[in-house]
Amino acid sequence: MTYLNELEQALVGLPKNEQENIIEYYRNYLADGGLSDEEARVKLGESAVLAEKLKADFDQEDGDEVTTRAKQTQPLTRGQFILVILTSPIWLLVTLISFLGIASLPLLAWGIALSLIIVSAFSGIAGAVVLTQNFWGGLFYIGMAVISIGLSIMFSPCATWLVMKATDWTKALLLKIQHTARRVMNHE
Amino acid sequence: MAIRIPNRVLEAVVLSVLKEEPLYGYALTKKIQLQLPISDSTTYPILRRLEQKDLVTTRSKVFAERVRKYYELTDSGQLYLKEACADWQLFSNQINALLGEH
Repeated sequence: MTYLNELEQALVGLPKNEQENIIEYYRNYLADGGLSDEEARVKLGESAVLAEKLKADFDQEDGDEVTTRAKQTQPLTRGQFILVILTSPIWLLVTLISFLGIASLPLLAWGIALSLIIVSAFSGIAGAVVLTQNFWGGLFYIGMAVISIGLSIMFSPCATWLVMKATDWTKALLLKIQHTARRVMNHE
Repeated sequence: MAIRIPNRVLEAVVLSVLKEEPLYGYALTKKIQLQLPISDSTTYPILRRLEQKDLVTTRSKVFAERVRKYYELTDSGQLYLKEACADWQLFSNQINALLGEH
């Protein structure tokens, strides 16, 4: 993961536009300085440490922003609390399905990529065998093998991307749950 | 350097460098570092604060297919610099008088 990606993830909790400002600033900073990820780590410090500094600075200076952010974690009222408990069968199910969905997407993608490779191997072998008896039939199978291997090559970056995205989504979902849980615990 | 530079002084330093010419974050940091050993992560929070207080404005210029933000002094920035400069003169004179030479 690049330095900027790390920083971006560590900035969660700041208002969106401030996150964008920071990333934009440091994207240009690294480009202007011709700094690699390693050099950035040395010059700016570990991304997590830099993010903490930026957050601390932001909270310290912006009284208004802090109160609006604090408002988001206001405890639930009694009515809201009862509603959350009553609807728990629904949202527990939805959360579970979301997690399963997120987890199954990359698995599915890798499954497809893998099966394409297997298909290509089998039809390649079949093609080679058939070729001696039936030239055009053999050629057909070999063609299938080439297509499958091509598709699997095209598919694997997509699968890798999905794995990375799935991690991000899981993190985001966990943060949401943590946030909600905190509100539920603090109910009046 | 073992002495932590107060924010107000750092703000004045940034304003003073920007008064000469509008600069983008990296160039600004490097220019200050020629005289003062500040870390590379010092500049952003100061610029953010100065911009928030309307002491600097930004102007975006396209450079090498990205957008560079140039920071430049506003009129209130000029004023602030003047005040901070006077404050610092007074303060440093007082400290110098107390410290003397050793």
